Amino acid sequence: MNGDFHYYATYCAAVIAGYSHPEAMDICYCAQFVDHCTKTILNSINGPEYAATTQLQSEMIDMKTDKNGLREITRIWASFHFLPRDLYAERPGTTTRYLKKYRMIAGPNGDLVKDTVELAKNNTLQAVGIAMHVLADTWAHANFAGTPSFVINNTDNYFDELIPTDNGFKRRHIEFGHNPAAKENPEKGEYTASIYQASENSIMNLGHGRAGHLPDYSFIRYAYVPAWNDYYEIIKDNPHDYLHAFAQMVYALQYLRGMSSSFEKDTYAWEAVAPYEDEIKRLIAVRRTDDTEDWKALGERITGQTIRPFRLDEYFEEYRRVSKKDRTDTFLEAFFDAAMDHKNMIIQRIVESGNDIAGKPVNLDSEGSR
Amino acid sequence: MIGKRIGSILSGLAMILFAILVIAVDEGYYFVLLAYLCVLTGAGIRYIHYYFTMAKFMTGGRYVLYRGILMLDVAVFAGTLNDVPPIYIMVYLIGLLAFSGAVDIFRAFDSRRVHARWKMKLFRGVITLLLCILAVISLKETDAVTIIYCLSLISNGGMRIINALRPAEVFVIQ
Repeated sequence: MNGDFHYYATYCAAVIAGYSHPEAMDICYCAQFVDHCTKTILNSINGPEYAATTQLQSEMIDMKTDKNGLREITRIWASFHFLPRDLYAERPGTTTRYLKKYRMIAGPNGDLVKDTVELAKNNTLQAVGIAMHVLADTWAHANFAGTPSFVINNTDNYFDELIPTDNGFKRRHIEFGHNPAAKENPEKGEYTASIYQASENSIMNLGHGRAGHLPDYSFIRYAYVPAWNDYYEIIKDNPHDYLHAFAQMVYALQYLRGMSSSFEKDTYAWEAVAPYEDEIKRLIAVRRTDDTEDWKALGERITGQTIRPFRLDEYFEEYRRVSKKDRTDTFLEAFFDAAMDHKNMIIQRIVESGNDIAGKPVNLDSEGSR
Repeated sequence: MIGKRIGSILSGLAMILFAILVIAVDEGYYFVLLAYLCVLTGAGIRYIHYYFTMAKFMTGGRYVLYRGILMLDVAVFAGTLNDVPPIYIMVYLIGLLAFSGAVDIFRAFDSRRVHARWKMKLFRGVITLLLCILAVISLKETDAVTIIYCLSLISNGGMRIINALRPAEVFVIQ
């Protein structure tokens, strides 16, 4: 998902769930910061490298894709952007090597989502924000894996957009361009994606690169054949998924505020969302690549407050100003702690399933922050 | 990606070395043949192993198997050429190089179609193909054929190295 959802929609979900404006601002900042917290940023503010929740293109370009390099990539992407749906998924007749990657396929309502939300219970707002980012991405990035894999993440030329008509949908073939500088045009169906690379561990085969930005556009429905689905087509209905992601976020946030005693999978706060559902459906369905204005307007109407735009370095000065031993009370320290705890938890679950694809959790006391 | 860059530089250097070998050493083309045999056998086996452990379960994975079998086939054929007149070995080596030139040209047109970088690929493919055609025209003069073949190896190797040192055009969706 993009900033419009991770920042503004998360704000909306937080206030609908009962958080105050300042609390919702902290939550949505952290939800969005997950898409920016790279090793490069961390090094620039002397933060702990293990807290990285994403990677820059430049960080990945020259990375080795040996076993350790792949583990490094997988730890980050599977933990924060492509949470595996089922670490014990079976596919009869396949090899162990294949299963290790197959089990990394992301999707909503897996056990790890429950673990993620529960980890944020009675925790900081930073932990809540991280959990919301991870939860939202399980919907948008479903059916792709957060580890480089040609046999899982590749797609082929069978890619059609389903455009709503008066009596159903019409199919329009999508021919992806591969020019990173090209602007996408949803009206003409002009989209870009990563280039075909028949190498198992190439970073071109990480996540949803082969589907371009389509998973992150709320309006789009498309049909394609993922490499892992045995020649069967999948129809990705983003309007449906985004609405469910939002309603599930509200439910999760209600749980985290103590309004319910447990967080269950496949459960949504439809009652709380009901007053806004029509408006959300409308804004999700508009054919554009950025819904910021509408989400912002909705959030400001609900609270009567102004949602300040996301500013990446909002808390950098506070963090830089204090010495290492005094960082405990800073905003970013709480984010880094929550990120490292979450990452370790996910890696531990992956290890428990008998999969070494993400390596082992690290001893956080030796990583510098604690 | 850094592995790919190093691989490209090494293969470029290897091509230049082979060209020197072929010119400087008597029957140096046997070394080139041996190198093809080893590299293609290794690559073929790797592809076939990859197919049976991974790509077999993938949509369109059988192309990985075809590729592996083709490589192994070419490697085995290279291994049978140790007892033929040298001119046939040269024709085989020129044929392999011409094939790679043709693939470069096709890839260039494909890249152009999807707005990726294509000019260097096209240039490399065209130069390789032209030199190979020249070599075939000069087939009666074994020395000329050898020199032209070496020139195309050197130009190909040089362009691989240059390409490896260019900033990578990587498009990773985040």
